[in-house]
Amino acid sequence: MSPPDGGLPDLGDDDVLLAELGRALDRIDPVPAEATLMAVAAFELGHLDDELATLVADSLLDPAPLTRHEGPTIRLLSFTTEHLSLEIELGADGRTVLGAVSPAGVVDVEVEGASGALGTRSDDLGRFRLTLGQGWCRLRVRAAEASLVTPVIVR
Amino acid sequence: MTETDTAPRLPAMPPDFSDLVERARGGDADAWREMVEGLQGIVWRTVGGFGLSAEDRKDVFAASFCRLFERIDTIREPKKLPGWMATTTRNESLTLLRARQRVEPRDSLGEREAEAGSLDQGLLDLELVDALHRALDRLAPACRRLLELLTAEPPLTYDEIAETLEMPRGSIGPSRQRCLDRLRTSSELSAFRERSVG
Repeated sequence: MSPPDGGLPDLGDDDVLLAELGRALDRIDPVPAEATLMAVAAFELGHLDDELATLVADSLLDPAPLTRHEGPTIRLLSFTTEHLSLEIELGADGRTVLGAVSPAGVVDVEVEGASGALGTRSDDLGRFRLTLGQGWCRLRVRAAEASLVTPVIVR
Repeated sequence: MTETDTAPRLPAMPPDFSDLVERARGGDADAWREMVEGLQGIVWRTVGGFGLSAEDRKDVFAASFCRLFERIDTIREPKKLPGWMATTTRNESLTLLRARQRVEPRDSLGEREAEAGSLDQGLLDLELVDALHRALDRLAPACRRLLELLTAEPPLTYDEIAETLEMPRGSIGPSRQRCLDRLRTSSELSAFRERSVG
């Protein structure tokens, strides 16, 4: 706190300076209430009754891309459980999803996340197409015999 | 000037997350809410060091808590939860930075909604808050990240900060000093100090 007489706190002292910085950030950059609400809502949204799939590949995290693109590019993600696997191609716009589930077959796909929920059904080869809303999301796949839910995807 | 006015913020007792983790695993929404409230300062500060847009920052913030939810059954040592959250948040921030493929300009003062100053707060104090914030924005990213983590509540240990920032524990003290020096000698703070003296 600044001294009430209007003088300066002793900013030459590291502890005081750090405390003043913390106080400044608390004032000028508090956690927005809507962010807190989103985090609290993750609990309601997140019923993980379906098996949580493992992310096995993400082209974004490849340590050494063969070519370096300047602009955004397609991103490939693969998820798997013991019984199902899911591959998705996230378009350069970050919203268009082409997906394929194997083993092939008709599946229901749901997206849930920051923009609410939407769903679609795949063709009989397990392929589907979706357009995602803003913000984080996860995909839920329900096949005849098995289901999976992906970890949260940040994009 | 009273003693408490100038004392550095006293480190609060780190909250005990064991009970909350246990209850949240059992589906207790109130326990989850308390966990969010207890950890959100750390998560917000951690993302704050990465220069993401305001929207992306909120997104990473929410996604980090989703990650906690997904993995809550694997948290074996709830005492280490603040450090675990900081590391998880850092990883999510880096992923999104990669997705953007370039560092977007950090949200400026305009985007950070400064709350209206209370009437009892002196002009000098408001100016100090503003100067500190602008000075922090102009520091090198490594310094910004360190100082954001050092001001997080509940406080992170040096071990947790070292792990989050992938730097040796022994260099945190010297880096803290160096970064605070840069902050202190920045044009924003120097100008502020000169003006308030004069």
